Amino acid sequence: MTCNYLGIGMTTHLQVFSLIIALSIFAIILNLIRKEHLEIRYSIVWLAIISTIVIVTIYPEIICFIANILGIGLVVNTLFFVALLVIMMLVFGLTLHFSKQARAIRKLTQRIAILEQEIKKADEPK
Amino acid sequence: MKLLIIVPAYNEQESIVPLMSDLVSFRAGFIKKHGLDSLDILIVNDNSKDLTLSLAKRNDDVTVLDLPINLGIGGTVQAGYAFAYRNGYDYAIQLDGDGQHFPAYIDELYSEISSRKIDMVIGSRYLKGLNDNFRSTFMRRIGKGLISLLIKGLYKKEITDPTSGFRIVNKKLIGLFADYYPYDYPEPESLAICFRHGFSVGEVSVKMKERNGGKSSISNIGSAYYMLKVFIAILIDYFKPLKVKYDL
Repeated sequence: MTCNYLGIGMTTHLQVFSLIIALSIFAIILNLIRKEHLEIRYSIVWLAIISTIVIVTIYPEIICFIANILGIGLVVNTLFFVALLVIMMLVFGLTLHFSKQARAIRKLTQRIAILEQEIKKADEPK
Repeated sequence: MKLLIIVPAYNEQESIVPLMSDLVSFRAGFIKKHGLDSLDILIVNDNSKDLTLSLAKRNDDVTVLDLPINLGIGGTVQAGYAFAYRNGYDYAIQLDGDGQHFPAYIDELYSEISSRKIDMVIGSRYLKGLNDNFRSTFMRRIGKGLISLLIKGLYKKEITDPTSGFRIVNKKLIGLFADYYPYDYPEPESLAICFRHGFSVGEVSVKMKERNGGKSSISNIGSAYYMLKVFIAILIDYFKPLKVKYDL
């Protein structure tokens, strides 16, 4: 693997710092799942992202490898590119998700109003 | 024949009381004239912030649906269609809560839909007949013209007033709309949905009042944006698969 121009300048210092942050977030997410503030199905993607960050921190060469594949000159740009892509996918996933929820809420609201009317009608003295 | 008048109402405390009494006094003669079983009036309160709900509830001659969350015009009207579907109405009439539609024209709408055996009839301000001096803003006329043109281009159908919220639909369309109705600016898009599913739509000429309370959902400044959204919605709608979940 050729990676002459590393350009991400990851010092041991930074690696330790990055690891601490990543692992802290990992722990926070796990704790939120434990306390049932977060649902597992929605947190898996976050756990995956944090895991990736941990792996990349330990083996920064991975970034060089991806830069070579994509043909990105300045290696650090790979980081921005991949990060942006992942964030956009995440946000788009959320948009999709809440479109679906908006539809569900509309149907629920309508159904509640109709059922409420039916209950009231049934309660009326004949 | 069971008929239902669906009145979507959002912050209409000024107009809802006279509208309800107009509808109620219109009802008796209409039922007798056409020999109907019933003509029910349904006020759908879209979580109004004013006294609309309590004013409507005070009237024993109307049925009230109270949406616990504000859904906007599309979701509000659809709640009415869902109610109509659930209770087996033969026709549903849609009439705005701001009092701009005169109940008297329900007669024309009903006569047209029952005699021509079509699926929907729209009360049009632009059809030749009663409205030769109807005033509307320049932007709105242009907008309506463009929407009409688009519908004509896609479906070869002539509709002069695609944004009119004064309409009557038959049982089949009640079923479709209860399941599937556009949300943001629903009137023009619901027409596209009708044509795409092979339903027939007619128009009769009606007069409408200048608004006497409440606020239009479309400001003059918003007209261009409204147009763009409606255009995109109708174009995308053209490529959607057919809804077959409802029973004909």
